[in-house]
Amino acid sequence: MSAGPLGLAAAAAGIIGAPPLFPLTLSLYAVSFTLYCVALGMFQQTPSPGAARYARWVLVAACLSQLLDIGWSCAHGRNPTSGTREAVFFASFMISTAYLGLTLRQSIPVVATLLLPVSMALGSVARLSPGEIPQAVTALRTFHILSASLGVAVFAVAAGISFIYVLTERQLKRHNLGQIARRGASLQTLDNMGRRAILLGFPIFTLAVVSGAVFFDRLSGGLEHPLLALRHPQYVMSMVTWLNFAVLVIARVVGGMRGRRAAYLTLCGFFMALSVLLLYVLRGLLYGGTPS
Amino acid sequence: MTRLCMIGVSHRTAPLEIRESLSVTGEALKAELLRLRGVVTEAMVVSTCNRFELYYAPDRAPSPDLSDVVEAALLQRQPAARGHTYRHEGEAAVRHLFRVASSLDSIVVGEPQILGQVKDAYQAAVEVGVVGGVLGQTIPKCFAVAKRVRSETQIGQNSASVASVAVDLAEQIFGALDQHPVLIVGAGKMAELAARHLRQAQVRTLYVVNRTRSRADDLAARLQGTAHDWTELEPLLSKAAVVLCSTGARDPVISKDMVARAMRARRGRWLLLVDIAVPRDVDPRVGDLENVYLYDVDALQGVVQGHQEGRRREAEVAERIVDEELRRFHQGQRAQGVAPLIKSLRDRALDVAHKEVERVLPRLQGASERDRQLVSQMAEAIVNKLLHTPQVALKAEAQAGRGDLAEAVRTLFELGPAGESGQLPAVSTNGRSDGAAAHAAARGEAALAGERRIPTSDGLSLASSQSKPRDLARQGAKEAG
Repeated sequence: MSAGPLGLAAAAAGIIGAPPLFPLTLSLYAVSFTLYCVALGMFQQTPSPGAARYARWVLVAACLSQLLDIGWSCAHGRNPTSGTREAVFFASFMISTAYLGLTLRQSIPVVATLLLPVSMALGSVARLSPGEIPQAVTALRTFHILSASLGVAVFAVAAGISFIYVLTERQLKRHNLGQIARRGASLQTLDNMGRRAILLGFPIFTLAVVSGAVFFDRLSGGLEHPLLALRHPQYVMSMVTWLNFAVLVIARVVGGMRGRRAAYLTLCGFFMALSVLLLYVLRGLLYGGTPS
Repeated sequence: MTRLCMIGVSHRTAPLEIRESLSVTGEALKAELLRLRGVVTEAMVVSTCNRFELYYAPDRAPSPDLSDVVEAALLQRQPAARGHTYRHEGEAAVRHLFRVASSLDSIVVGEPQILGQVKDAYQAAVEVGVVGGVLGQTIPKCFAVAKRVRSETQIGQNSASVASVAVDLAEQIFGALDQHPVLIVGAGKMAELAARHLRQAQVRTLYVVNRTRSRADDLAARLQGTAHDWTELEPLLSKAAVVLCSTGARDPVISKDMVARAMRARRGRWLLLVDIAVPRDVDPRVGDLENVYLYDVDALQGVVQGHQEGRRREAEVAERIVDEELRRFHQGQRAQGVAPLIKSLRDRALDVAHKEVERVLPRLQGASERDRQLVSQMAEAIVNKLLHTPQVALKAEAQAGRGDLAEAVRTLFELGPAGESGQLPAVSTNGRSDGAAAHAAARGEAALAGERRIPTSDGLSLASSQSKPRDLARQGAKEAG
C-alpha cells in the first residue's frame, strides 16, 4: 500500500472499515444541506431560491461519491446484502437518490433539509457500527435486502414529505402563516408527491416482504410452520408495516383519501418500517449478523 | 451639492379628490412635461393613485421664488391643490426620491408597484427630452437603491392587504392557480378586489353568484367570469377550489352541512373559503372540516397585521440602507465636482510639459525619433508622478465635503473656475449627461484661453491667465448660483 494520502486514507479505511470517500460523501451532504437552508432563508434575511439549484447538484455529487463508496465496499467483499451495516449504508444512499428522483419536476428544499440529516445519520451509524461476519449471499437474499432497502428509502422520502405537510397544514388551519407555510411547497404539491412516493414504494416493499417470507421458508427448510415466523419480532413488524401501507394505498387510490389523514398514515407506516430496520440492526449487534 | 428639487402632493398631504384631479398618464403625462419644460431645466413627473410629484433641476440655484413659479405651473390644472404641497431641495429631495422608489413612503410599505411607476415616469421624461445631468445621475441611482432595499430586506416579502393575503393563501394550498376555479359569492367590493388579485395570479375560471342575478352578471362581466343563479351555490361549491364570500346577508349563507356535502362530492379535495363579509357569510364550524380552510375578516386582518409588523421592522433596515446610499451618492457628487478642476490641472501641466519638450527637441542634434519619443514620455511621466498625490488629495477632500484644497490649487496654478456637477446644458435630446463633460471642458478651455507666457530665467516660460484666479472663481460661483 502506498504511503501517500490515498494510501493513508485506505489504511485508515481498513482500520475502521469505512470506504475512503466517506468523509467526502459526508462533507458533500453537509454542503448540500447548508445550501438548501440558504435557499429557504434560514441563515439570512431573504430566501435565495437559486441556492436550491446548486444544492441539488451538490447532492448529486454526494450520491455519486456514496455510490463509489458502495462500489469500493463491494470490491472488498462487503456488498449491501452481506450484512445489516452495509444494508443500512445502502438505504441511506437510496433515501437521497429517491428524493432526487421524486423531485425531478419540482424541488422541495424544505423536505431536503429534513431528509439529508437522516441520510447522513444513517450512513454515519452504518460506518461507525462494528463489522459483521459477511453472510452467505444468495440471489434471493440479495433481492430481499435490496428491495427492502429501496422500499424503506422511498417510504422515508414519503414520510419527510408528510411531516412537512402536517406542519404546513397545521399552520394554515390555525391561521398562523409561519416559516414552514411560507417557504414550503403547497399542500397539494406535497400531497401529490407523497402519494407518488407511496405508490412507488409499496410494490417494492411488497416484493421485499414476499421475498423475505420465501427466504424464511427456505432457511427453515420448509419444516417450520409459517405462523411460527410470528416469534420473530422483525417479521411481525414487517407484516404490520405492509398492512399499514396496503390500507393507505387502497384508501388513497380507491377511497380518494388525501391530506392530513394520509400524511399521518404515511408517517406511522414509515416509523414501523424504521423499527423493522432497527430490529435487524439490533439483531446484527447481538448475534453478529448470523441469519435467523 | 445636487441641484435636484421636488414638489408634489401625496396621500399624506392631500385627499384623494385632489390627487385624482392631478393624475396624468400616457400622452397627457408627456404633454405635462413639455409644458413644464418652459419653466425648469429638467423634469420628471411621478403620477400614481397616491402621489403626484415633480422632480426637477433648475438652471440656477434653487430659491423660494423659483419654487413658487414651479408650483404655480405644476398646479395650473388644479389650483385647489395649493396648500397640500410639500417641497424638498438638494439632499432632502434625493432622500425623498430614494424613499419613494424603495416604497418606504407608500401607503403599504414594501409594495412593489411604485418602482415600476417611477421607471415609467423616467422613461417618459427621457422620451420627451427633459432629462439632463441631474436627473440622469440621480434617477438611475434611485433604482439601484430600491433594488438593494428589496434584495437585502424582506420589506416586500409578505402580503399586506386582505386581497393579496387571499391570493397567498390560495397559492400556499394549491400552488399554481390556473387549474383551480374561484367562486365569488355576493358582489362586495373586497371580494371583487380579491378576485382581481386572483386573476393576476393566473386564475382562469371565475364563477359569480348573487341573490340578484343582474348584479352577478355585472360583476362577472367586469371580471370576465360566468354568472350563475343563487340556486347553483351548492353545486358550485363542489367545483370551486377558492370561495370568496362578501354578501350583505345577516345570517350565514354557507352552512357546515353544505360544505360537508360539497367535500364528499369533491372527494376531499382542498377548499379555501375567504369570508370577507361582516356579519359572516360562512358558518365558523366549517373550518373544522378536514381539508377545508376558512379565513374570516379577523383571521385575514391578523395575517395582514403580522405582515405589516414585519414590514415595519424591515423598513427600519431599509431606512439605514437609504441613509448609507445617500452618503455614498453625495460623496460621489462631491468627487465628481472636483473632476473638472483635476482635468484643468492635468491639462495645464501637460501643456507646459509638451511646450517645453517642443522647445527643447530642436536643440537635440542627432536625436533619433525614438529619442524624441523618450523625451516626450519622460515629460509626461514627470507630470503624472508629480500630480498623482495632489489628485488623490483633491478627491479625498471633495468626498469629505471640504473645498479649501481645491481653492488653493486654483490659486496656485492660476486655474479658471472648475465646472461643478449639475451645471449642464438646458435639454439633452438623448437624455444622457454627455453635455456635462463637454461643458466643463469648454469652461476649462475658456479659463486657459486668456493665458500668456511669462519668461523665466532659464528661457522656459510659464503660462498664466489674464484674469486673476480669484475673479474667475467668483464669477464661476456666481454663475453656479
